[in-house]
Amino acid sequence: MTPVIEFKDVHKFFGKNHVLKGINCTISEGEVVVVCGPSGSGKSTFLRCINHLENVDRGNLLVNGIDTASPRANINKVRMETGMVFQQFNLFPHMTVLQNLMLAPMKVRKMNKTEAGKTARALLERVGIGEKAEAYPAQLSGGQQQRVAIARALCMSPKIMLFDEPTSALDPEMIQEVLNVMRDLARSGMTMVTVTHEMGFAREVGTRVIFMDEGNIVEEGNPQEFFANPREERTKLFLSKILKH
Amino acid sequence: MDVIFENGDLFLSGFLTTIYISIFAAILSLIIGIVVAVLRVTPSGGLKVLAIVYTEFFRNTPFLVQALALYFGLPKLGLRLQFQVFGLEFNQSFVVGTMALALYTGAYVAETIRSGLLAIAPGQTEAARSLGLSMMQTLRLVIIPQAVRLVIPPLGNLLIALVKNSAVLTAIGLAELMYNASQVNNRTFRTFEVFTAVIIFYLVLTLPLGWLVSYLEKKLNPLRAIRLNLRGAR
Repeated sequence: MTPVIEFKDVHKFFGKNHVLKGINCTISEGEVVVVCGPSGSGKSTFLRCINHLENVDRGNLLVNGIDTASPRANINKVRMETGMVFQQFNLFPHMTVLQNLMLAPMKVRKMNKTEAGKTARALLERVGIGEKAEAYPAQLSGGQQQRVAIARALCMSPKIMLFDEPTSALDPEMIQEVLNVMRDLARSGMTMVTVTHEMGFAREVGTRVIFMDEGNIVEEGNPQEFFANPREERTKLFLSKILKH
Repeated sequence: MDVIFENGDLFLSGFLTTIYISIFAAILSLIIGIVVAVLRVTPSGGLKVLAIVYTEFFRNTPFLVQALALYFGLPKLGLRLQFQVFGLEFNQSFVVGTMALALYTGAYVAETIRSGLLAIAPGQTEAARSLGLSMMQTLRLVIIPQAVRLVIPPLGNLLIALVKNSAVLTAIGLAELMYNASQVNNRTFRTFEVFTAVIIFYLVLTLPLGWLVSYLEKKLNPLRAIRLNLRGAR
């Protein structure tokens, strides 16, 4: 398995707040990694460092062989290969769904309009909302918006997909439609890093679970082991809180 | 009323000059405003400082003083300020007047546009950058189109203020509406009629501008609904 993401002693500070305290972690091609932990544990920052939405203060972070911590790194190249899905969807409200999907392929990959349109429509079909191509984001439900956001990221044919709490802003009944799309994506072999509390998703398609607390990776392992026999006390406490109900 | 009609050509030429200078200055101030606003939100050193100095200077000194300083100062720098383009003559008062009005209004336009840019949620920038778009592409394709819709109403107010401020350029001898009206007044002492007519002329310009702005605002209402929806989703 080729490693595609390598954290080497990565530190991150927000002012005096030490949010990542020397993270070491290697993620290989095809892995579906689920990152969980209490709020403030640094899990979102961990994710956002990968495509350089947060810059690394110390250490090295290699993504597809490019060290994003280096000031000379071509960050846009990293981002072209790394799709990201946000908690708040962040669709562009002044564009139709189709325009949202076609923007980056045309402007960044210099794809022509016909080709970009074809890719976009195919991806909308894949996430199950082909009929909404001409709608504006505000006319869609949360679940539909998030599926558009996933399709928008996939339009760039990324090698890695990052999900930052993709179902946290959704009504319960819409969570499944988004998770279904993510499950399909995981089974298709996409390398995925997902920050989520959807433990069902982690069990079903995850290849590894990472538990973070206070800026450290406390424990990691394959989902079966992680949920059945957590080693650390901190992990047990966390799991007892989120799995009880 | 006869005093108005007897001097109709003077009123009309002044009125037209007011319209011309307002159009030129409006376009220029919009260009200045966009450039300065973008410079102020992007994190690049020297030009950003220059942009701040510019806005603070022109917002914190009286327009009359700026106009006079430019009118008497620029020729001392040896600048040629008369033009002839397509057979049209632009004298020094007109050229300097346009510059002064554009520079003064541009500072306010810049601040208005900047506030519009800052009002767009940071998630928009993050989404655009995460797709690989550059900072400039993000501004041009994602942030500015949304900000423009937000700032149309306040920009409309600035445009109306610009039209009214053009009257100050009387002081540098620009033969616009106010200047020509004063000439008539000095000759006839029919102050009440003359300045009532001037007020009506200005209203003829500014009221439709206000209507145009509310029309545009209504036309962009779908987007406003979108923004409210997004807020509700949080």
